[in-house]
Amino acid sequence: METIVENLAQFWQYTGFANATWQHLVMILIGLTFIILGIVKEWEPLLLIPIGFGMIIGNIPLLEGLKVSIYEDNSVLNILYHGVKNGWYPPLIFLGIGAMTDFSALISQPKLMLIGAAAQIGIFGAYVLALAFGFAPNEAGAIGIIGGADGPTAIFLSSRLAPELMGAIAVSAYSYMALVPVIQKPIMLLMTTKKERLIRMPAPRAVSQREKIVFPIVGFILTAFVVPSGLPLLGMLFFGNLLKESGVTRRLAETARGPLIDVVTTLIGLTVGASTQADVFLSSKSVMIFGLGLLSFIIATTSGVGFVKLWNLFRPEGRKLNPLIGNAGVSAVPDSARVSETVGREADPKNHLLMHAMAPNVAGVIGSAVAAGILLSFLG
Amino acid sequence: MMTLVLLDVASKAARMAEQDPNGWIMTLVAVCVVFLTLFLLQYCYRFVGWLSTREKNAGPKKAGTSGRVGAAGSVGAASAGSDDEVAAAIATALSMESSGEIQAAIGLALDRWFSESIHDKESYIITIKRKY
Repeated sequence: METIVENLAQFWQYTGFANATWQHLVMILIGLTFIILGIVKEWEPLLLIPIGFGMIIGNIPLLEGLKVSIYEDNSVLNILYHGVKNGWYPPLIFLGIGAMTDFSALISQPKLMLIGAAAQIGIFGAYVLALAFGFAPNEAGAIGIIGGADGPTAIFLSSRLAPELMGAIAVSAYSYMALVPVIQKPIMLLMTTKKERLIRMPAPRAVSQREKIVFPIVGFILTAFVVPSGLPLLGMLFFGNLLKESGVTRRLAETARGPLIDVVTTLIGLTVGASTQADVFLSSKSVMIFGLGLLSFIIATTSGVGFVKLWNLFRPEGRKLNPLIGNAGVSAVPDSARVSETVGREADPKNHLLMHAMAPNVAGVIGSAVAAGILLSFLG
Repeated sequence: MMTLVLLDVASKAARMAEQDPNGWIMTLVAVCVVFLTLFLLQYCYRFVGWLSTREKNAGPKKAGTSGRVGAAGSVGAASAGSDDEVAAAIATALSMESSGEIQAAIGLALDRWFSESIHDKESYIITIKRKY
């Protein structure tokens, strides 16, 4: 009888109940909130559900030495986490993004690329603010990239510059990406007049297949020559797009934008979520990262809309741009372009801005990868 | 290797903290580089677009046709005779069908185009209310 009690007591020590702390419970609640938001509100469910469940996995209270935790060498989760830690997953996601993105809107109106550049000011605004709050330059660079509104880029850069902050940065980036409609709409309304919101832009011209094929080749060579440190992201993005547009690699393109990106998204979401263990994640630094992340989104949206308004001062009447496409310069594709469309149609139900907004939106993807390359070359 | 990389990051960060403590210099340089890169890129694409449009406009003349360019800005992959082929296909479809659905689809597409409200996703569902 005594042995049974002893064994039960020993078993109790291994259970999560015996090792739980309030921090674990808080993180599990956050994970559950992510899952609920993903299912009920359908906010980025493909990301929030794996991240939320990963948070629960990562915060099951454990005794050390069981070789199951994500931070214990050679555990299953640890092996999967190598893809995040060493930056393997983000370029694979970029391959899929390239293979699923139609850049026609951008190719037909290349001038709108500059809006994608303007919105990247959010990254560097947050960098300056993070330095002012006492973060080291490499940490500030990793935090700043949240303003690019690009989860894979944020993971890629933070894994190189500040691996210890990666969990908070990734969760912050994906959370704000899910909240793009909530964050951007009031800023857009605040910065534009009713008259500006009614501006109609001419339909973009049709783009030839040859232009679509030339796009990834020229784009890659030029951007990689300027920022070689952005090679993994830019290379995969443009390669994926070439697979899509070449017309002769349909199977490869379908795999890249289908099963491959699905597998990698699942793994990246789950492992990033699992990396947010309470003892690492629940700190004042994480709270500051969330605050700075929000500010970087606000700065990015403001600079995108502000840039279009400034540009309009130099454009003749009749050729002005609708400033509502300025928010789409951040690379949350296609969510921020959808916000432009929605807000535009609220002002004029017949004014469709989606195709126009897609141009700065996909330019934002290129812009944030270039910005990540610059930060990496300065700080990495 | 990992230690070396971390040291490198740390040393670069220390150097940046010393040389540019507020981050303004790096911000200025980085924003300029992003703008410059995308500025160059847009010029490249404008040039490619210009070449493509020129080729498209020259195409019908070479083929000895009237030189008319499709009102909807033909898709460049189309050959010189593609407008005629499309017209022939539409005419064949119209002569074969009797339900009015194809006319309605063409009408809808033309209406969308001329009202400049083309966008990327349509439901492709047309509801026809018959009078008889």
